[in-house]
Amino acid sequence: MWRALRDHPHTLWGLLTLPGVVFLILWLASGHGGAGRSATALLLHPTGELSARLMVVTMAISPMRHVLPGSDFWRWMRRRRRYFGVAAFGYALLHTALYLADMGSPGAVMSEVALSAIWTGWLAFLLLVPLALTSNDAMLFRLGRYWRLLQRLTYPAALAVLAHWLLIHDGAAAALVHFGLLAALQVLRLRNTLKPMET
Amino acid sequence: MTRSMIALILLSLSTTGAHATGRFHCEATDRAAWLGETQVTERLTAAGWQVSHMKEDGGCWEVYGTDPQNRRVEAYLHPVSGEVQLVSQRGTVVFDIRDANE
Repeated sequence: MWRALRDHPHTLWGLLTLPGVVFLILWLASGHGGAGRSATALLLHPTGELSARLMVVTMAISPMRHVLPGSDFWRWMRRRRRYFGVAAFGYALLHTALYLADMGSPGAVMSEVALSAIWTGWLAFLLLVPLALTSNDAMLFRLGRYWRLLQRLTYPAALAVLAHWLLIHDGAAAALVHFGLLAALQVLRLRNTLKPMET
Repeated sequence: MTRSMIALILLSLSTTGAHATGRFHCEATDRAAWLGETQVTERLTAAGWQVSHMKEDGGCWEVYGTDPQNRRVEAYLHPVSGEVQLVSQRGTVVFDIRDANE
């Protein structure tokens, strides 16, 4: 019963969509466009941070499989990695849409595109677009071995996300904790993969 | 091992930032002498700013809004004099009173 519920694809979709529902309720409840801090601006930070967190989780799955090869949890996660990646993109899309809405005009958006904290954000988003577009089974099948190659865009995208988060200066410590953890896991994995070659 | 690893990850993921940023510190002031939020908003609006919201940070008023050049900025104001100390646009410093005074 529990296992069937846990492994039903809709359960995970529901879980990953839940924060989006909370964001929507907050947005509707706070009367967007009213006086004071607009709900759009209010949600800008949490949507970006959630997207980055999901990205870190997605990218931590493979190294965690190396660190804990016997873990059922990470094997379960590994089979559902694409769900997490797509969710990370979904919240990045929401984050970008909120930013555009908050800026209000193409001119305003263009006026700050050259700022390092902003273009790194755009770069991260643009790198994620092809990954999201090819995330379905049909594209996975059609691209074959090129699909894995394409997925490596995740690494430059992650670096761009980290730069964006640090430069926007809204919680540099949180950014370093998230990506520091991921970097540590990648180092562990690298050590694990290199070890057999030495002996 | 597995459980402690997961717990560690969840713990690290639960720390959120955006509290005391330490980006700018104003001189020590008597809290009773501080300008109120309404006064800060009135002064800035008169100078051509649009104020979205504000909070305390580093002994200053940290104001979020739009400056007279229509840039989306964060400004640190002296809490008593109301003088603008530092303005940053998306993390890039566009005005610093320490440079302006040199």
